[in-house]
Amino acid sequence: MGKKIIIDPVTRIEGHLKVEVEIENKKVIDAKCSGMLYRGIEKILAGRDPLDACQITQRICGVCPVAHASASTLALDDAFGIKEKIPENALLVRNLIHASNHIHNSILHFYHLTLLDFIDVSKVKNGISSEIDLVCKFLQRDNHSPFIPREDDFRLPEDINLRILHNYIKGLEIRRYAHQLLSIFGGKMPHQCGIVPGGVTQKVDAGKIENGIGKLKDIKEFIELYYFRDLKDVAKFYPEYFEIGSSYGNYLTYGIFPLKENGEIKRFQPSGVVYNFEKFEELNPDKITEHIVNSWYKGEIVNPKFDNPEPDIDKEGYSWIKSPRYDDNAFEVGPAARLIVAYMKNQEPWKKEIDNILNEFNMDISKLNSVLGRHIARFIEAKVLVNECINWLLKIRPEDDFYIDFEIPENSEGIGLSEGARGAVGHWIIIKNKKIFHYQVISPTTWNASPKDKNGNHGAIEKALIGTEVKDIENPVEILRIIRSFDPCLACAVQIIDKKKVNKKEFIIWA
Amino acid sequence: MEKIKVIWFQAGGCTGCTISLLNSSSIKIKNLLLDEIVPGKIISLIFQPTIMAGSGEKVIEVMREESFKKDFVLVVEGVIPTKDNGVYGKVGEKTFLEILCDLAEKSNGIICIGSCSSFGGIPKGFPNPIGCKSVKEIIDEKGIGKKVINISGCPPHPDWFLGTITKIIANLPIELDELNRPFDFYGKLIHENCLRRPYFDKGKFAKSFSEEGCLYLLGCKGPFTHADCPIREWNGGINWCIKNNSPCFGCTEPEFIDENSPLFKRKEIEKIGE
Repeated sequence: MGKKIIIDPVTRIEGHLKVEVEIENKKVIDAKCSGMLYRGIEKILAGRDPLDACQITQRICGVCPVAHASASTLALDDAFGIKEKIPENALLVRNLIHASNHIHNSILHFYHLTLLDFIDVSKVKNGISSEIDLVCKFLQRDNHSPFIPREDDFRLPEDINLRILHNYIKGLEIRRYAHQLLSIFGGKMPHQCGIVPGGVTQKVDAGKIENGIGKLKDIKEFIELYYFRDLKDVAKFYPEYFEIGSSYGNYLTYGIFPLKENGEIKRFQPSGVVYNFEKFEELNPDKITEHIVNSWYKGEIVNPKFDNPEPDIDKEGYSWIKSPRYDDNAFEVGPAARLIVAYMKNQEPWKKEIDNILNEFNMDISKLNSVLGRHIARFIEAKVLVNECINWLLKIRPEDDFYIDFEIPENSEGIGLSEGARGAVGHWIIIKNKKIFHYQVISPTTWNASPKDKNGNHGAIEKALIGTEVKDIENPVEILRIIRSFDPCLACAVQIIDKKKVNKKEFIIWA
Repeated sequence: MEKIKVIWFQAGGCTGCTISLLNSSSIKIKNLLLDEIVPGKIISLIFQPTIMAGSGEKVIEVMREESFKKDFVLVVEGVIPTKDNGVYGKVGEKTFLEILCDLAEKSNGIICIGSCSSFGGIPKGFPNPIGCKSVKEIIDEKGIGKKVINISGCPPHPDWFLGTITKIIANLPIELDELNRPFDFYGKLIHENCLRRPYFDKGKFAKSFSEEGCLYLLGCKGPFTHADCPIREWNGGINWCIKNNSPCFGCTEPEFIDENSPLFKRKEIEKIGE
């Protein structure tokens, strides 16, 4: 018998997102993602000193602030006419700061945001490890928040469950190391202060190189020994999640980690656009627009280069999130997108590593388009980046420049394209009279969690939800696992509505 | 076993305060979650959206039940929009404003974590598009007579929050400054303990990040900012802003962001040290 369930909030994601799902015959037939928070950061930037942009925009997100700091700084480097002149040392240090945050995010996302969907915290016994003993003691309390209550679909055998639970707790430490690594070069975390237009604030000396390598070794050991095994076991006992949560197969990435090679700037993870897993094309940023037919802003389609739409709280629609589109098509962004583009461009060391790891799972690249695929993509990135960070550290020349001076031009404009752990992030700026005249940000989750566009195309998460079988609508783990696999940057309210039973209108806040 | 129950309400924030807390290295986060904080006393984290296992009605029900017992500390992360009745931030069917007032009324007291809930932070920056107010302003306006402790910072250092919690748990008095911040952590200016203070006293000022010197001319707000970053340092004592050759942006003060912007330009000093 049909029944309405409201899941509100969906936890273990970042920010405020509401997802409404319609179910018929146990299948999702429609889905709506709604961003439930508007802050107007771009409006706050107008009229300020352009240099403020990097510090202000990184406060958009406390989980991936470096992504915004990077995109903002690239936009400013571009507007100031110095993007080709940034010293090689500065590129390396910026990359180290940025990569540490991606490594932190992979561990945080898999161990602390995802695993409680798969491991059973209540199945423990004393004497395994001091970490597990802590859990045993905890379970003797009369209240087990924040670990119970929870959704329920636990299948791991006892020994594997215990090992992964141990690593959940151990992972809390290792994730912290990744932020310590970042802090060596970025000053503090969250909201680092090392990246500035012109380069980085602090020179890196031999001591910092040694400290960095030390931290990387601890993190590398955990990733290669434990993360891989834990992920493999989750995949083994939940194999259907290679088939669940597929999106369009359209992928977009701006590329990340610029490096100087023979005087030319090349990105360690390349940019590109993939249609339906087949057609590859080079990125052309001019093709990016934002549809706002279903978003609470005035207008229909806007251009990030010069539009900053006004909020409209009376408009029909269902989200504060806009719908970024590339050539009017919807795309998935994130780790899977970065890997698939690198793979299609035959860029090493990515291609080799992707083949190796997918081989371990007996899967081909198309399986990255799934819940487990996204988790595997995040693992591959963490593994490659930890090793690459050591290479970057050893390329630093402490005696050379880390910063160049510049003048802020009277009038100018710039574009900064980079990647957060969650995907493509773009900043657009226009400077007039040495002040910010226009600023627009398109962040990764707007691509993934966007509402329907003018042509009726869903965003990637909505697309991945539609068609999913929900076995028990009292316990909709499939929905939660799909949403979490995208690592959305918003806290979430999911409403599941059984079409047979309830009038949909009643449960839409904004329609 | 004595326990303090905590309901952690995320309003209009960036989750940076939660992540900063996860970076705690003095009390490790595993001990905070699972163990005694001081002997015989634990924290029971009833509701924390970023780490809690369950979702939806199940966890809301736990929160509702616990809130009716009226024996919990409310932690607020993020701003509260008030313009247009607060429609710019919602969880489920309720605005952050409604949820805050309901929980605040039932709580034993409120800890604001971060500059957003303490003072309004960046979202309150001109032109304050969504009409942000600090939790204290709202509580005072609505006549909700609950004590507020502000742990400001963007984000705050984990020790500032956990040190305060430890004092609460151990029944020790907490002395607050006029902005409701614990004197233990916000009692002194950055400038007083700054490692670059000798440069300032000698008049050696850096004019570019490639120069060595006091960062005052590059926008450092250390002379106006109360926090113990210079002696505590960040991320387990690894580094902090000025040690990283970056100016202090004054993120623990209500002047963050408007009066402290431009962040990279000098702010006139009228009187230093007091």
